Amino acid sequence: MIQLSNLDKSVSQGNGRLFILRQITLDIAAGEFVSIMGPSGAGKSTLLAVLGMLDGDWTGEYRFLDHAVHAMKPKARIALNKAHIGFVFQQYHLLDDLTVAENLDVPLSYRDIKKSERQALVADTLDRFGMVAKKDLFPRQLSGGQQQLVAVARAVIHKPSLILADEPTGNLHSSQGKEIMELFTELNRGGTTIVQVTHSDLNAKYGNRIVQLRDGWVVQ
Amino acid sequence: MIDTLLQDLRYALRTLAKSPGFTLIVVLTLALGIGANTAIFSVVNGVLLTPLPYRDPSRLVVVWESKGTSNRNVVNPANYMDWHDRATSFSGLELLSWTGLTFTGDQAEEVQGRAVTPDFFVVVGATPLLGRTFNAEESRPNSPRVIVLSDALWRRRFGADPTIVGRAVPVAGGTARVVGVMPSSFRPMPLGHEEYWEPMALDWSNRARAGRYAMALGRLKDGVTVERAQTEMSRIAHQLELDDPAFDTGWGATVVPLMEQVVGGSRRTILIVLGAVSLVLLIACANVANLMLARAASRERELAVRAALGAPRWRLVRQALVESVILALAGGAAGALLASWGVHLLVRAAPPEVPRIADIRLDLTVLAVTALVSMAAGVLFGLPAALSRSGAAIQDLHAATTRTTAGVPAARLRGALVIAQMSLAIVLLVGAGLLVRSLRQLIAVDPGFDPADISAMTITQPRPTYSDSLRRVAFYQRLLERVRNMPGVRSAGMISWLPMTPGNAVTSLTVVGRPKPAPGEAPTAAIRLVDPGYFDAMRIPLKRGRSLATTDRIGSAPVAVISDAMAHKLWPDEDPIGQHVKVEWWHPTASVEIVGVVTDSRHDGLDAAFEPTLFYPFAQESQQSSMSLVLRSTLPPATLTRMVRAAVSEMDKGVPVADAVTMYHHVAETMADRRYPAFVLSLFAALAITLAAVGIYGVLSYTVGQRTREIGVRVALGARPADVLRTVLGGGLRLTLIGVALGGMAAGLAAGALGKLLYGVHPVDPLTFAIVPLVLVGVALLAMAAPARRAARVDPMVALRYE
Repeated sequence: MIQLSNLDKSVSQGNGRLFILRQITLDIAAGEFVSIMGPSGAGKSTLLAVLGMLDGDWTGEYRFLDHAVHAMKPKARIALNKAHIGFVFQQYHLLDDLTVAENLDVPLSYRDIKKSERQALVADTLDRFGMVAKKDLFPRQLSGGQQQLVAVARAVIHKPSLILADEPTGNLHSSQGKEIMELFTELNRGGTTIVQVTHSDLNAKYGNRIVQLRDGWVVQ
Repeated sequence: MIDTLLQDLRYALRTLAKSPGFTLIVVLTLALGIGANTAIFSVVNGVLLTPLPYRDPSRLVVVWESKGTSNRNVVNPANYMDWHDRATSFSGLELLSWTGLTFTGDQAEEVQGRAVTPDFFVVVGATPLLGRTFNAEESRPNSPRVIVLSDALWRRRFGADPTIVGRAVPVAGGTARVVGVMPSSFRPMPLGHEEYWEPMALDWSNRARAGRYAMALGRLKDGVTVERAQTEMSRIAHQLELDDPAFDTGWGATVVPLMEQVVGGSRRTILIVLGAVSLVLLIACANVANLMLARAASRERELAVRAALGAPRWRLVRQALVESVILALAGGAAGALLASWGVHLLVRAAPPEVPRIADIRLDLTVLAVTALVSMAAGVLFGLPAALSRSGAAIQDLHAATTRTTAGVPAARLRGALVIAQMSLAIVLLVGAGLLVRSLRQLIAVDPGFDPADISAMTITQPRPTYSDSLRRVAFYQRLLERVRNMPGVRSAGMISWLPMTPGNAVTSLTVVGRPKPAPGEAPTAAIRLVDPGYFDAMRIPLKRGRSLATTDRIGSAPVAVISDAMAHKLWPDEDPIGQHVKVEWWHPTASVEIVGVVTDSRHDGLDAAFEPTLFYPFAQESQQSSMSLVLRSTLPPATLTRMVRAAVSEMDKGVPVADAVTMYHHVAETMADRRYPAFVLSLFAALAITLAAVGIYGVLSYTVGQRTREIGVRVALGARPADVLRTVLGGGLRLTLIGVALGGMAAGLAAGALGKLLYGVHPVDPLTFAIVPLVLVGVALLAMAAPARRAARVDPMVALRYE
């Protein structure tokens, strides 16, 4: 599904450049559950942003589902992202002024899906995640765990083949974190590829492969 | 599409409701900008854009006589009759003259009217509300008196009596039969405020030429252009010069579209004011755009998340624009409310010279334009924020999700908006400054008389009652005697045409003993009839000879006093005293002796040159039925009106007395065409500078907020409050000075548009161009003071801990 080859990411610093990712070569097959680990500043979140096509400023090769991402224009990358990828952030990043149901509808509304179809999808997802009773609540009325649950639901509602999660349990206490990780495992079993960034060895064990990053290099 | 748009709409409403402070400030700012524009646009619409309320008004023209620089001179009836017979350009050509009528009864009332040839109403295409207009019979000389009333007069004087038609109403000298009432939509013709019409009795068999006092109104035939009509009228005028060289040499004819005649002089002023108010709206938009940018910066995370969830750029732009347009429409609605009040204020403050005041209103057209302007403003101020933020979100989603401060492009955009505001404010301030300076220059002009404590009122003798000249003179002399003895009245006099009153009475004359001038070459002078006490009351000093005396009366040798300008014009190297002239107007054969010279006084406004004037003793000239009484007294005009009315009423209840006005007020009225735009532009300039100050305050406050950590670090590293103050103020001042420089250049280019509105002030007046930037910089510094002080007080520990 994902093939990175000699991928570099750097930013200018003074007269030189500061490398954040160095010569990353990495394959991720469809259906894998990969955990990216490493100390702070190792480049984990940046790698996730590159994989998710949120960051387009890098060199090297990146193939996604046989698409040569490195040769694509930003608009095409966004289209690819839109079609196949769902995101889960550490800070949930729910839209504060939208209700739970409306938050779930946001990604669908950007994908030219008919209103009736969107309503059905939102209803199904609310049901699947056990949030029907909370559909009209605003994010501030939910606990951290509930908010992340909504964020995961929002990430999967348009049935992406790849979920990228950046420290999905970083702001949750352990029981809530466990719940979310079990949810990811279940999604993975259903065929969704998952790549998560985590500091937690425990969470990493939910996956079937660990990629270690150090100073921008893949070390394992 | 529709449902996602509704979604955007719902979300925008919810977001705005969540930040009522922001929403209120934006709506208020826009309300001021849009409200001012709506109010001024209602003037533009009413005066310049709405067709005149006559049938096919674009084909109506006024035809004037012309001579030299005077190209809109009143018309001689015999010349009109020849035009009428010879011209083929018009489907109808009518003659109108100014007249008046005294309604008698419980309360005598002098009313302005127009005498019109019978087909006048057919030519303008107006039908009466009640009754009919005139027939040919009624237009013959010595026909029984008939009148058509205006709607306003019918309502005011006759209580909208539906049975008025056919009734004979009492007027001075008998009765007049009302044959019709015109609807309220029928407007007076230009240069008058008539409230009734009467037939003009023209004797078509008599083409003797004497005096010019009317205006011609024509309807162009289909397919005839104004230019073609002008060519034909010039040809006819040339024929008339040959036919009657003594009267018509040098005289031509001018064809003026009626719309141009009605609004011509005001068009420039109105457009200047519209330009000024548009600048205010632009400043308001810049202000709101800045607020939106600041707000967008704080919502960057949300945009980034939306982008990460797949929002295409146009959706992010649309969402931002929906919010802007909602704000703009709310601002437009509040602006329309403000405008309804503003229009009322503008109409009330408008000088009577502003044409078509009755047509100025907030109607559907104006409201539709307001809605369009609001939408456009919404896009204008929303676009910078929408484009900059959505662009940032899409281009670098990852950075956008983590960035919390405004990017460099947004900061530059905010700076550019402040510069634009400052520049626009300078243009408005310079415009207002030039007009105010011009007004001050004008006020400082010496009118040639002392207006302090002078009140004036016009008294009109009904012609039928005062047909006898001796009776006419005796009445005014008795009145003057009584007035001079009134307590509180120091002196009193009379004049036929009060100084600073629109219009003029001019006559040509010949100097006895000099060769007869060639046709059309005779010198001209303004002619005024005065009583001997006039010069004393107005404090117009005598320079040579003697003043007029009570002995200068009917039967005595005709004498006159002339102005200094006339003495210089006609006798530059001679003593005018003892010279004789023949005045064409009333006494073409009598030889009038010049007995005195008085200093010049201005008649046509403070900006007018001194005009050669001949003052004739009113006791010798008995044709004048309307005279203005001037009183030097510290009593209020209302008291003087009451006292004079009582005196006149004791003498003759049928003689109406107009309300007294102070001479200061009367002089000020002549400056209305300058005072009004100066007032409006000053108002807008004040608004502009306030908005610009708010703008720079907002930018600096935001910048200080964003730089709190940096400032904290600087202070921790040893920066003194003065250093911080200098850094913050320096940034704001730089924007202000760039704005001032650009605005100064733009103002220099734009000032020329003020043209004739300026008096005694050069469009690039150094004083104005020096003071205005200082004022703006001063105001900007005041606006910057609060955020700068806040920056200087940043506690490094608090700032760093907060971060």
